[in-house]
Amino acid sequence: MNNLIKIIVFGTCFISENLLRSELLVSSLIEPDSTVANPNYKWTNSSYVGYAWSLKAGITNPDLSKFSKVGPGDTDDTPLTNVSYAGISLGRHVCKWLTMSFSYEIFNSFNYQSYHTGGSLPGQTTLDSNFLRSFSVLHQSALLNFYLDLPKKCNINLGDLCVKPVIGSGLGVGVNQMSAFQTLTFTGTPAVASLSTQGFINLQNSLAWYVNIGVSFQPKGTAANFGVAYRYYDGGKFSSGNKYIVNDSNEEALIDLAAWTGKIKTNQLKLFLDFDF
Amino acid sequence: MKKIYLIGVNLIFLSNMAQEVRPDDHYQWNSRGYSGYAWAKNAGVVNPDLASFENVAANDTDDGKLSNVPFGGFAVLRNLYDWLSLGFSFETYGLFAYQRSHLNSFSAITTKEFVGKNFSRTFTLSHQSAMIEMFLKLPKKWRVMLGNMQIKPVLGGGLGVGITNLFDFQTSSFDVVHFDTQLTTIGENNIKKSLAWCFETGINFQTISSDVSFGISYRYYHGGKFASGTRYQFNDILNLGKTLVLPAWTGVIKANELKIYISVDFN
Repeated sequence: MNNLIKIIVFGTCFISENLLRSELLVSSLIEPDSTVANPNYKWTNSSYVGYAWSLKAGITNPDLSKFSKVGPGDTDDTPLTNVSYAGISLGRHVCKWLTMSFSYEIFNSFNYQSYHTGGSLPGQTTLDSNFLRSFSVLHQSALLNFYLDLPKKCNINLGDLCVKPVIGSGLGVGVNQMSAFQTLTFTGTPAVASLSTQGFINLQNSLAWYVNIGVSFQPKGTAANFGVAYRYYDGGKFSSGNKYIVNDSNEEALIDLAAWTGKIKTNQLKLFLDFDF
Repeated sequence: MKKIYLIGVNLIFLSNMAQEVRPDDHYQWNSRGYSGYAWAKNAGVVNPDLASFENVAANDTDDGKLSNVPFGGFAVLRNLYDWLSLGFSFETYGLFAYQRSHLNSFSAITTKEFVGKNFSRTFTLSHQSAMIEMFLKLPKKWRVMLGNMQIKPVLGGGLGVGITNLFDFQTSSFDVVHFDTQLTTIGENNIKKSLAWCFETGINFQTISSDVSFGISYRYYHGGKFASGTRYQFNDILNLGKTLVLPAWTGVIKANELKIYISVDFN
């Protein structure tokens, strides 16, 4: 969370500086009534925030003989929580129709929490077990982005604003740290006790990608623009690792079991502030 | 890392101040980045069902302050009139934590929650808000010159949606009387969207003829309601880990805030 705040503040300060610089350049490099980015600008910077609505993560019990399993009609696969995110990118206009950029973005913690009633314990077929399984995933990504610079005829003038469509995509590495894995239950026999399985923190790097479509607004005579976009975002796989501490009759044993895995998939709303320089 | 971050922000800020700048009267747009610190007030947390959840002692309460947290955000505003700027902001907060420890509690006969008489209840809030912001442009005669620095008052407010994710709800105790084991209640995560608003007043510093300014403000911030989910897992001898559906624990994020910002006008 603190990193998220730092990115917003740092990014905005960075933009503020370059807004000023680009403002000074505008007067000398482009016509006063120009509504599009000046071809002399080679670089572009963007700062953005947004909100991600999580889809089902594709979580399944990796070993039904070792982990408590859900009953008929129940599932391990529930969506992660929705989260906010922020990012910053630096790009270059490589040709008339394409801008390439590098971005880094960080998300608030995705939480998984799945309640189960009428499941069964490992090695048993009796469906009377109640348990709760939960974990968190902290996600960041570093991406190479490709955005189309569409022809001027696609632009619309709305008062002193130039409205432009934004189409792009990104590909890179998603860094997923899975933590706080826990299965929690309570037994009445043979000894009354709270039982749990604790997983270790595990970091997994995976392929991340997105497609983006939106609209930007550029005031006349400035190199700055802002806008809103929809993104389908795939943050890549996450995994729990293979080490678990089992707090039951195994007496807090450290054992190797199959990893719990899933995938971050989200629909996103993105708000951005860009400038060329 | 923290030092590098602070040095970076300062260098960028100083580089802004060193620019050659232009008069700002004709600028139509304004962007600002800000950060600050929020001192949380009592959240108005009450036991939603005295017949189901453990009751605190007569001289105790479930209500308490959330933890104080930092926050950051950015805004884009348009100068609509000589007296008004209107825009949009998005901000995100550090995690608000709720933690209350209770001694000598008691339970109703119908209680679903079977915890010890000494217990703690905790949860965490992840909060963001998106607001329409409005700032008044106060009369120029209210401005003060201090060397080459113009100082002016700031008055504004915002209204929008607060998004609050309540997670890690837990009631925890230890039963030494019967079984020598930990007893817990685990609450369901829940995201609630609610009305958020703020009132802001402060002072703004702007170098003569510069389009960059900075300032400091006090804000009263109302982040809206939060609520837990309605499913709870009860890990005790009565329920054996069963999930029951009971009323949600609710509250409101209210905070006094100090906000520091840097602002740039542009066309």
